[in-house]
Amino acid sequence: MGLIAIGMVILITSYLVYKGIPFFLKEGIGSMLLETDWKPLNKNPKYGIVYMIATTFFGSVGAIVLAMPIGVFTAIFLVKVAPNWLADILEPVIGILAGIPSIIYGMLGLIVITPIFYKIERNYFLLENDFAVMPSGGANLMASIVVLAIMILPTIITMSQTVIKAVPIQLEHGALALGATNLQTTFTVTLKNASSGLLETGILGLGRVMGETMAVSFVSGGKVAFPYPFSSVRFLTTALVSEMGYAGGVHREALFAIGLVLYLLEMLLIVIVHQVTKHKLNEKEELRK
Amino acid sequence: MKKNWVWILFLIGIGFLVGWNITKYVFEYKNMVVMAGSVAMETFAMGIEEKVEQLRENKCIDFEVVSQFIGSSAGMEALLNGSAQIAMVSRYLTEEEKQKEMVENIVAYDSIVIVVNKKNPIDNLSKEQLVELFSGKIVNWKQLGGIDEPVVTIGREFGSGTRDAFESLLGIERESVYANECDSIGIVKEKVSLLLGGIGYVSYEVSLEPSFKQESGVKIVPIEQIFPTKESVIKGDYFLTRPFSLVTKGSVESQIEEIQEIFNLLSSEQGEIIFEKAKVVPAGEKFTQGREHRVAKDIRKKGTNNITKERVFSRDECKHFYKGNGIDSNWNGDFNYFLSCL
Repeated sequence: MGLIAIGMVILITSYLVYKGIPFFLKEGIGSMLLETDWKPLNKNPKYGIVYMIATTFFGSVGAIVLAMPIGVFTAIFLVKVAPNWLADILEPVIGILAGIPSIIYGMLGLIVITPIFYKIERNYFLLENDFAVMPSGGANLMASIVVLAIMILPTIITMSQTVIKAVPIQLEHGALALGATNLQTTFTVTLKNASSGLLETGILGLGRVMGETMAVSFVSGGKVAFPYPFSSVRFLTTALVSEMGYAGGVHREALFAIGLVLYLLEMLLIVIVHQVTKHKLNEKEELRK
Repeated sequence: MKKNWVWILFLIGIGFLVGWNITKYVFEYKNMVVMAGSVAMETFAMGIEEKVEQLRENKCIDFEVVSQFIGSSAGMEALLNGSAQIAMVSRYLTEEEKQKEMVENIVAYDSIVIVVNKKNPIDNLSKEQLVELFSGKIVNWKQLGGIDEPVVTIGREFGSGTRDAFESLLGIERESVYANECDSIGIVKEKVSLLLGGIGYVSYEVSLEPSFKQESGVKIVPIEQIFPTKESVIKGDYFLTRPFSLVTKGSVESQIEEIQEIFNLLSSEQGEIIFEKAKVVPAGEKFTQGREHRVAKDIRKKGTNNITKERVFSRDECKHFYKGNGIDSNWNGDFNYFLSCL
């Protein structure tokens, strides 16, 4: 089984590189990573994906920033505060939430969240005579962030719970014995000890959010533009999924190149996770000494 | 040891199958009909290619269709210099082109329907208004005497045939401004029905689906007071329409048998599937002459054709292939299809 897994990784990587590299050889790396215009079908095609990378970055970081505090505090509530019967009900429910397909969150976003954001946009951002800004119709970066945050929340809660439970109980008992209140103990001892684990949770969540396609394809708007909070945007993943059906020639190669870029970004995240984990292990070993 | 035997037998089996198919492919002689032209007709041409391939697998016809998508005008060039036998053109021919013995066989019409929210009181749009709406010059429905609501233009993504047709008909390829670019018709419809100021476009065939009429929250807007109907689309009264024509050098009757066979295929029931898949309105009568011609002709003559090496079934024997949804494809055909996917 291990061999199969390794084989798959090698196969996928080599396939992506094989399909993605021709574009860079033909058009140069700069034509994709330094340009902002995405007009693959013009007479002078432009393949800039800077806006898309920025969107993916701001979108996923925003979602994590929104989801982490809520997730971590929910986890603390479930582990430390909630009575047993409540935790017994909530935990399976959160488990079910984590299992909902992401497209469902996208549909929820399209029907529930998008109209709300359009209302906000109309009332506060579209001034009476300001026609310079094209309305996004509620499908914008903020809506995507909210949908992604909702989507990632159950995963973050479950993982944070595990991390918080793993903090040695003796440390907490020590703090309590010194006269700290429950609240003080939780925030000073438990969270501090769990911090590296929580960071890891955040980065793993970031990886998951970055690769998400379906949830955002409904609510992001799909227009390639600079990711202002209330402008219609396009993620790297959405670009792939929406144009693959038609693309041919260099356009198709460009899409594979986008796939390669996305893959490399994810790889970077995984490397970071490994570094953090290593760091954490080293710290623990030092503590033991 | 037993396991090894199973593996070896399995590999020999696979090797035999692959080898057999490759040999067959190499030694088989195939006539080719080259179609070149508009990128917009890609789905349509691929549909023809697929059906011809299926018929060939069943030995009803003995040629293959190869299509190239190089643009309408370049397709005409290719037809003129003989590198293609059929030009796929997604516009009307110019007088100059018609003088060069080019025959415009319009097989289908590609039409686009403008939809707005059901609560939007607008009941007519002119061509100029459409251009201004989709190039960002009109940004509030107030400017058209409607409600005070910002215009939210919902478009399709790059590469979509509908978007291409819409923008080239209005001549706004360079200056189109969209609030949202969606990757499916369903999303366009959903967004227009959610946004009071939304306006979007879908292809005509899609707007005929029942889901578009019953409580969909969207309504179809007439252009210059003309609603898109089958009659207005075919007559050309409805503005947002463009023809799909298979241009031939000289009339269809004067063409070689293979080309006639393609027109024949289009007028059969299998042709309807092609039109349906490509989401276009079949032009109907304009190429019926081809159909009558073919039905009257005895295809058995093909057996005496020097080029044909294998026996080709007669039209009567193949009749059931032209009807209904499924062409009976034998296992061998499926395997070839599988190989072509690799």
